Amino acid sequence: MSLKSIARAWNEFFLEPISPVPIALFRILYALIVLLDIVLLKPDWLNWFGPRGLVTLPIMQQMEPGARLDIFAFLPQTDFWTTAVFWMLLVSALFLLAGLYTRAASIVTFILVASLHQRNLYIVHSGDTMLRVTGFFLMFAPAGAALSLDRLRNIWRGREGVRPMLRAPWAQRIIQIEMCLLYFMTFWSKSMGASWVNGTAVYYVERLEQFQRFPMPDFLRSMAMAKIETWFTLAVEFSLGTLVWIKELRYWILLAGLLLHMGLEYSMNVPMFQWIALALYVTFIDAADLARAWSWVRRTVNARPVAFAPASTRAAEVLQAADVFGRLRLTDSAPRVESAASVAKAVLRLWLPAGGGDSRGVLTAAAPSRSR
Amino acid sequence: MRKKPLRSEEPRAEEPTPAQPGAAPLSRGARIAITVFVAFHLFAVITWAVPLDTPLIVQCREAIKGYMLWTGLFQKWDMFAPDPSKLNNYVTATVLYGDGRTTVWTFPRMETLGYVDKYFKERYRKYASDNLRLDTRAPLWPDAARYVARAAATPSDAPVEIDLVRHWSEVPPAGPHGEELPAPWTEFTFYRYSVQPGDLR
Repeated sequence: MSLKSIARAWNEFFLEPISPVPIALFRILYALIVLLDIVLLKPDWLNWFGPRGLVTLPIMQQMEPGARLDIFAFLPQTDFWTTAVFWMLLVSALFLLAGLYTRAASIVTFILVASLHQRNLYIVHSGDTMLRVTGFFLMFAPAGAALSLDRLRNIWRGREGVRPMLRAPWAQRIIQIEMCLLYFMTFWSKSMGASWVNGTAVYYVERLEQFQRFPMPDFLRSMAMAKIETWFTLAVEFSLGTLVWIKELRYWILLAGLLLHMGLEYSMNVPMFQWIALALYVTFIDAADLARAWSWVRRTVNARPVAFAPASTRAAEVLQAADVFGRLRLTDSAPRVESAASVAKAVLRLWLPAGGGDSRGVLTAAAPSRSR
Repeated sequence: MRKKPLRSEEPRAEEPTPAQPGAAPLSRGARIAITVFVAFHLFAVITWAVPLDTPLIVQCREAIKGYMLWTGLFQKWDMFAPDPSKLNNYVTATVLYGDGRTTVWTFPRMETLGYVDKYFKERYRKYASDNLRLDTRAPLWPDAARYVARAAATPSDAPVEIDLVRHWSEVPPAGPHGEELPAPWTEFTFYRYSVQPGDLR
C-alpha cells in the first residue's frame, strides 16, 4: 500500500461517477417520509412547536444551549407562524418529491426539518436523527439528476440527453456511511450490555407496553425465541454496519435488514423509524439492478400504451425520459406533441392511469411503433 | 437540431448502460474541496457517534461541538443499548380546581390507544416516558403543568394546582419455567405547580 494507492482508492470510491438513479430514488423516498412524518405530527403541531405548547422556545433554548439552525428562533412566536412552518415544509417536500428546483427544495426541506427537531428535541427519535443527518448530505447530492421534473426541463432546454449523466457519488457515499454508522454504533453499544450478550434483551423489549403495536404470537414471546431474536438483531446490525460493502453479500444482508425492520414495524410502535432505515437501503442497490427490477414491474403491470407523435427530437426525448411505466408509443397518427404545454400534458398522460384524460392518445392494443 | 431515430423499444431513460454520459469532469480545485469536506465530515460524525468517551475523543467532540449543534449533525446510535429499559411507565397530572374537586389528566398512553392513534400520538410517549418524568428534565415541568392547566380548564372551572405524577413498573425476569411474573406499579408526585391567572390565556 502506498499513499498513491490510498488516494486512488479514495478518488475511485468518492469521485468516480456513477448513475444518479439510486440517490434520486432515495430523494423520492426521503420526501415521502418527510410528508408522512409531518402529516402524523399535524394534529398536535401547536402542542409540540407552538408558543403555548408542551415545550416553549425559551425552555428549549435553556435546556439545549448553543447556536442552532432553527428558524423558530427568528420567527414571531405565534400560532400563525408555527402553522406556517408546517405548510412551508409541506410545499418544499412536495417539490423535493417531484424533483422540481431540487437543490433549493432539498435546502429548504433540510432547514425546516432541522428546525423542527431543534425546536423540540424531546420528541425526536433515532429515525428523526437519521432523517435530519441524511437530509444535510442530500443537499449536496445530485438528487435531481434522475427521476425528476428538473431533468425533463433540462432535456427540453437541450442541456441533457435522454439518459441521465453519471455523477460523482461523494454525497451518496456519506449517506451510505451514515447508514453503516447507525447499525455499527448500535451494535457496538449493545455489545456492551449484558442482556444483549446473554440473549434476554428482546424478552424485556417485548414487554414494554408503551412500545407494543400488533399482538405477537405466544411462541415468539418465549425466552427461547427472545434469545434467537436478540442474537439475530445483533448479527444483522453488525452485518449492515460492515459486511454490506461486500458485493456478493450485500443483497442478502439488505434482505435480512428488511426482515428485521418489517418484524419491528409489526411489533413495535415507533412510527416512520423502520421506513427511514429501509429508505437508506436503496443507496446500496446498483442502478442496473434497480432498472432490472423496475423492468420486471413494468412487464408485470403491463400498463396500457399511450401514443404520441412528437414534433421534435427534444419533445420525443422528454417523453422517453418521462416514460417510467413503459407506456410510450411513437406513431405519426397519434396526437401531435409540439409546444411545452402539450409535452407537459403528454407527460401527465404517461403517468396517469390509462382511463383518465383525453382518450385519443390511448391505444386499445399495443400498436407497432414507428421511428420518426 | 439533432436528428436521430427514436423507437419505443429503446432502453428507457433511467436504465444505465456502460455508454452512459458523464457530467463534466471535476476540476482539481473541486476535487480538493470535496475531499476536504468529506474527510472533515467523516471525522466529525464518527467522532460524535462512537460510544467511547476517551479524553482524546471528548476533546475532539468539544472542538467540533459548535458546528455539529448548529448543523444538526449531532447523532447518537444507542437504541435499546447498552441494555433496554425494563420500565413500563407513564405520566399523569392531578388537577385541583378552585372548588376542591380533583381530576386526573393523562398524557396519551400508547397501550390504551387504537392502532391508528398510536401512529399519530407516539410522540407523547417519547416526550412523557423518555423525558418529562426524569428529574434531569425538571425545567420541562412548569411548561407541562401550564399546558395541562389550559387543557383541563373549563369556562366554569379553572384549575388552581397541578401535580405531575409518574407511574412505573419494572418488567421482572422470567420465572423458573419461563413464565411471566406480575409486576407491581408504583407512583410518585414529582412536581406541584400553582396555576397563575395568566397561565390560562
